Amino acid sequence: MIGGISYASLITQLFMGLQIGLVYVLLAVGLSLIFGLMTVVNFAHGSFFMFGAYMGLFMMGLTGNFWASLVFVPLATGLLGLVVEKFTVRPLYGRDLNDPLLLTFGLQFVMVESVRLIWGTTGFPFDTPSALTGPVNLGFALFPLYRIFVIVITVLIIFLLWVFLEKTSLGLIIRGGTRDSLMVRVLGIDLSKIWFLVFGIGTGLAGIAGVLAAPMRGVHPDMGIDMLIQAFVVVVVGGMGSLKGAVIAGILIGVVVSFTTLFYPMMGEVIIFISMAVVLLVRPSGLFGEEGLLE
Amino acid sequence: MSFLSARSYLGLILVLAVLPFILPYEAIATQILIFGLFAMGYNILLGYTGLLSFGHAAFFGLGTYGAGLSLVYLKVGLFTGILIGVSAAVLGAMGVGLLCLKRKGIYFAMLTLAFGQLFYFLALVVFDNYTGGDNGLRGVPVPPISVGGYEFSVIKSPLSFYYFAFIFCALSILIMHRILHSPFGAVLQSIRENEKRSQSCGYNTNRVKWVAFLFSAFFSGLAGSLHAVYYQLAALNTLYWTNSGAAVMMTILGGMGTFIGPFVGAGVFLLIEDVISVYTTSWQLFVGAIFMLFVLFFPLGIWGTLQEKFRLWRLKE
Amino acid sequence: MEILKTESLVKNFGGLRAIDEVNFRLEEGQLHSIIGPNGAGKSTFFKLICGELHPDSGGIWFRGEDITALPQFAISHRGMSVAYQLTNIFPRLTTLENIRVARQSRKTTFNFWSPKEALRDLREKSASILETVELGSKRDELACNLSHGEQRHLEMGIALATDPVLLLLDEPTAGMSPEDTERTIQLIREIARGRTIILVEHKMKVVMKISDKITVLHYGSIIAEGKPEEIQANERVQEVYLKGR
Repeated sequence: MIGGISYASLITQLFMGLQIGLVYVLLAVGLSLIFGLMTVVNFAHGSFFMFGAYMGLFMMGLTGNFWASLVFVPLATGLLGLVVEKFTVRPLYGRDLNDPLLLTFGLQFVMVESVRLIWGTTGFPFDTPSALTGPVNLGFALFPLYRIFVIVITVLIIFLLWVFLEKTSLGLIIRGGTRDSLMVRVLGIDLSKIWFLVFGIGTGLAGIAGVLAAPMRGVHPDMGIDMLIQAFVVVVVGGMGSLKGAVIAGILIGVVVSFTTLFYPMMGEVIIFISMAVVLLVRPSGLFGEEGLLE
Repeated sequence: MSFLSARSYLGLILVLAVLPFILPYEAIATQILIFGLFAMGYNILLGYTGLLSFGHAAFFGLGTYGAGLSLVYLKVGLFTGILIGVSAAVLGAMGVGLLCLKRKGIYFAMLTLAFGQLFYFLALVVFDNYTGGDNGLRGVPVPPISVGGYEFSVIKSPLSFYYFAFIFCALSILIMHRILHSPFGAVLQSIRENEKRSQSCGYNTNRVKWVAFLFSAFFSGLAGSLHAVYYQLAALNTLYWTNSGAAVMMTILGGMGTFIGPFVGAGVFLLIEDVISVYTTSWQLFVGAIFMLFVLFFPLGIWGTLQEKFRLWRLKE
Repeated sequence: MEILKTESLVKNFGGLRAIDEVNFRLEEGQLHSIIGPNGAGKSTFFKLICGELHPDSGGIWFRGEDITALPQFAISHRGMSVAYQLTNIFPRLTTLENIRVARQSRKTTFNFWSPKEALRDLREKSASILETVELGSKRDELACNLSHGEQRHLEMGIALATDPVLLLLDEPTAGMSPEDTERTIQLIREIARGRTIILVEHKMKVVMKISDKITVLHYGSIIAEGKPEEIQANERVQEVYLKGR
């Protein structure tokens, strides 16, 4: 026992942290990709997360099938992302770097309020799909099956993303663009199409994170806002534009939040901001980011 | 700049002097005073120095809680309470500024956001015994003030508070005008235009930015203090990032490239909120959409666009 | 009299040694050019002298004072000024204001209470500097609306605004037509009177025409130094420029 808490509890908390962290990773990876390639800070990223959850609810209401939702949601969210990119973000290309940040800030309000208007302010519970309910005996403790499912599927998604980025030529272009957009343009590749794609992928990832998170926290118009700030912290700590950083930092922060909630419930949020401030001050490029990407 | 444009701040003060009689009711006029002051203070940093902060709610909130806490627990006089609020904001800015200004651009913006949220959670969770947590600090007393032998309460009537706040506002506008059109103001603008060049000309830009940060926090904190007195409440949402967002939106809506633009933006923002709220609770939807339109198509803001149109019209004449 | 010297100056960028043990001496009143093939380290050397970069080892002395560790703004106050290669002006300020605010740094930074117009002699001096760089007619024009050549002149005006004794000019004729280049050469000759200038230039004709002394850099080291005629005749220099060895 440590501090009155059993080892079993600690390890359970670690698993919780891992699961929370992996959801952060899905969000952070999207944010990081969008930032790394387009130098756009997508303030509305949390709203895509929320949108994904609502789309999941919608799909469940329609078909009762969770698996269908899992397929539908990233597509719907990604599609919305594509529309947003083409009509609101792209026109800002070449202007002040702060402009997309401001734009997506406004977008965030529009999205949240639209959802409130359509689905109401109070939000809804989201039933865990019957196939995934119940605890699993991990030997030392019981752990919810659904959370294990989330761990498994997020790892799968991240792996698929990694394969895409590392092993396909399109992925190579995206990675190249993240490092040197001028070079990519010089090579004759239409950067606007890549931006289009990346924004869609990034927001699609946020959407699927939302529907995965829904059974655990319900569906609520404000669910995106806290997640956004936490995702930012992950991206900053991991390094803007670095995917490895997003993964490692996401899990790290998830675990930190999980343990802080256990020992000092009050300090959970505060710890996150302190870590973000510390990283920005000591090593602004984050753990794995590029030096001087944007000062 | 034309004679009129350069004197527009006097026009603003004139309009504010009679605002309660132009608008349907005093409450909205008072809100415009308070948030207009907040936005103008914010614009010292954004429009003049070129620094986008997403954490200015911290200074507004420090003003609110500084005034509120001192009035409630220390039972100080009204002016002292307001002074303490402003001081809290400036002290906070000294520390926050020192840390955030180590970085530039988007990292700076994110740092300010992080610190803003830090203060929010400190008030919500860590010090909630004093601050009242989620409910805020209620029942802030407003001690009467004595002027020329007479004692009266500034909140005797909505109109009396309005003019109490108006005096602070008008003075602030005059002082801000002085500061921003002084040699110091010229340095700020050189930093906004090209910080590296400004440095190579011989300016210690880090120090200058820090001082600008303090000025900005001063006026934001003053607005916050007035807020606490007016509502007799230190509200938690004054520290929430949406309040920072409000400052950003008001400033850009009105025109960050002009002196009085932010005040105009605050007025428009609050009036839209007021009008639309009658028909729907989703006023944020409209404001958000309008804001997006402005970022895309009217980057000069309302007042900035008007000034530009006026300038072009004069050129033709 | 020696106005600037560097001793064993070294600057590395990761594994690359950009400046390799450079010992440089600059005589007061001279127009001293630095040339070298691309990548020779000219702009790095430039940045080290004005304080934009700090050396990894070695020292820099300016007017007898060790300025190696000083920040750029402090070095500026000691009488050094830079006119950059990539036009580095204040776009949305007027031409006059560009110069005035530069000059103001010598007088005051934290004056919040006077209207800036009250600093009359500042304005007048700035206006005369504008005349010197042939931009008198464009006083109230926004700097971003000037032509490329005019902006290059404004760039020099800003550098002159602080009354420097040492002026660093980084490729002042970059991107200019032959006529503009000639005018700029005349301008440089004029402002060189009573000042010391370090000039980095690619156009050989310009360099040969106006320099009192030339230093040739190659892979971060000085390979030759001397009067224009001497450099022209120098075989090593010819080798380096023609064959890149």
